[in-house]
Amino acid sequence: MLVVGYSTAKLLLGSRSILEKLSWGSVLGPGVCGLCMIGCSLAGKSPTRGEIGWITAIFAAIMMYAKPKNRGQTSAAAPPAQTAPIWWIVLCIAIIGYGIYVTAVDALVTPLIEWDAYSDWQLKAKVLALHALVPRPEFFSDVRLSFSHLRYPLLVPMIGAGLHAMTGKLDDGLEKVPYLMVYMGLGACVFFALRKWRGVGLALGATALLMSCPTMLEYAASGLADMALTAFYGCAIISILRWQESGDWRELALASLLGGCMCWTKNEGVAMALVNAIVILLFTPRPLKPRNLLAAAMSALVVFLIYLPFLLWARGLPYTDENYAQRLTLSGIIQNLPRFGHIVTAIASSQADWWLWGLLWFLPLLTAVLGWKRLFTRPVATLWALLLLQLLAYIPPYLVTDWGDLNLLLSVSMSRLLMHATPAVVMLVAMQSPDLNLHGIKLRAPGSRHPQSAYDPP
Amino acid sequence: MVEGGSLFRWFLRILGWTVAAAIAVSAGLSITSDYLYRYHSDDIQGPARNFHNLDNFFSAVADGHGIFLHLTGFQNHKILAMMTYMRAVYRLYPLPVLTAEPGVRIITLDELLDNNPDRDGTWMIDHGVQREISLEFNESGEFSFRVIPAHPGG
Repeated sequence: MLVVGYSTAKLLLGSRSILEKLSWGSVLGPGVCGLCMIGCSLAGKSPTRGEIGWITAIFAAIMMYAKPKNRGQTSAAAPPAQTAPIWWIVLCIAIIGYGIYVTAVDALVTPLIEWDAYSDWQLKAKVLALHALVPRPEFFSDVRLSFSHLRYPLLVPMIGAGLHAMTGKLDDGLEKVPYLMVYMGLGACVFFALRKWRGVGLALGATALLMSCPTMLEYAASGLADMALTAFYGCAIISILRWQESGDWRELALASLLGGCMCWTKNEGVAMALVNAIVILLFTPRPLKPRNLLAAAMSALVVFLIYLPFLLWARGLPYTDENYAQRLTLSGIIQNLPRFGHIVTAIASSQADWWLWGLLWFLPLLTAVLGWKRLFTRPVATLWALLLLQLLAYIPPYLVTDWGDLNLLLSVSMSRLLMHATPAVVMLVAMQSPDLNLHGIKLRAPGSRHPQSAYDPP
Repeated sequence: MVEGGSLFRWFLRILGWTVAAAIAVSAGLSITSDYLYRYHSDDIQGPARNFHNLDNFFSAVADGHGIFLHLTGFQNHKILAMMTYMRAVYRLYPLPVLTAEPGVRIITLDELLDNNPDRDGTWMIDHGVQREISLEFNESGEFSFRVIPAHPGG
């Protein structure tokens, strides 16, 4: 997976450092490898060692022979020279280290204990390890197995199926390992992106916030699809911000690829990909310029083309669960509008729960006040738009749900939905925050100042 | 000594320290919460133990055969019944684990328990399973089970 991910990163990221490409490879690897296996499975071949070997070999060849053009400095200005004192670096690394340690224990030692993990995602991983998607396995038509949500997207099960194929055992207990890699990869991608934009101090602080978030730690290596979705989404956001900065089509290609992975990961991924498309369109520099309009349209088209095989494959599958797609009608939403206040209250009270989030959801507000000048920069506005649109997109399904007990649904699902937004939250914290300036209260020589980043306010 | 104009820089530094302190406090609260959840509650170790035992139980009693799972005494513990059924399906796959007739949707707790009458040997053989596991949850909160091989007419 790492080879596949690294090769993809090398193709699309050009001349970045090996460490940065490895970080992106950790997130892209499971996604791209999973999509390739899905392609083979749709062609009638369930995953085998040989097939995965071929996929790896092809990507390894790409890695060795592809020589993507080096991009020049994407930012007009030099990266910020802000450094951080050693105690801050040690503190943040210790926090990140705790996160990695407990996630590694979950991935390698703790058995599968999450309800949805064994009843849905990893059960289907076993199915896909034994059966190709075409002809469609009987499993997906057996309504007695409706508890496993027969119409849910299949990227996470296919990643698990690939692992089972490699070990040759269905009960190898390794199905959570890729998400340890994805968790660390997401943290590193966020760090590298923020280090360039805001310097090492804020980048480390934001990464520590992300990787120590209790909800993230609970679900990162639980065998659910939420870690993968969070990572794909977080990296897509970074790509969108970089595309805004550089105009490089490869960044948009990366965002589109990740958008496709999001759609194949969870139904919520489709909503998030839609939010990304809206933001790409509205927040691009000079949105009415034909080139930018075309770029946004192409990006949406690529996401749709990646997702299309799932839509075709899932046609005719029984609707046995929530079926939000059919319920999300204007009349259904208007009819249930009285629930709106209750849902917003539930979202806010979950965000205020320090047991689930620390102060994570409070920090964007704090930094918006303290660093108010940055509020009017494009990346900060983009991140606020992404965050608010995503939160807004999650409300309609709660409005139209047929769950008898709305409170129960909110309590079992809210924290995982909010987790998807955590990369946007920590990036927002770092991007709009004032400089940390932790080297003591010492005055600078008159006239000296840090070189400006492209994202510094004017 | 604060020079003219540098008061603003002091102010900026205080802002920076405020953000750093908020990040540190947030991370500290997060780790405290996670540590308590992980090491001072039974929320992970408890289910891990139970599922370890349940997995071994199903592997042992199924012994390579598809099973019909008959659940009794779970009316006040419906979630436990659902969890047990789903775990059996996951653990024993690709062996079939049946609780209901084909075509019966099982997604809610009631759909599981309302469609789970006892079956005879002929039904089990017709539906491709070789043994019944009758699992009872008694008043004192203990499991008991019987393994009944499928015999035609039995």
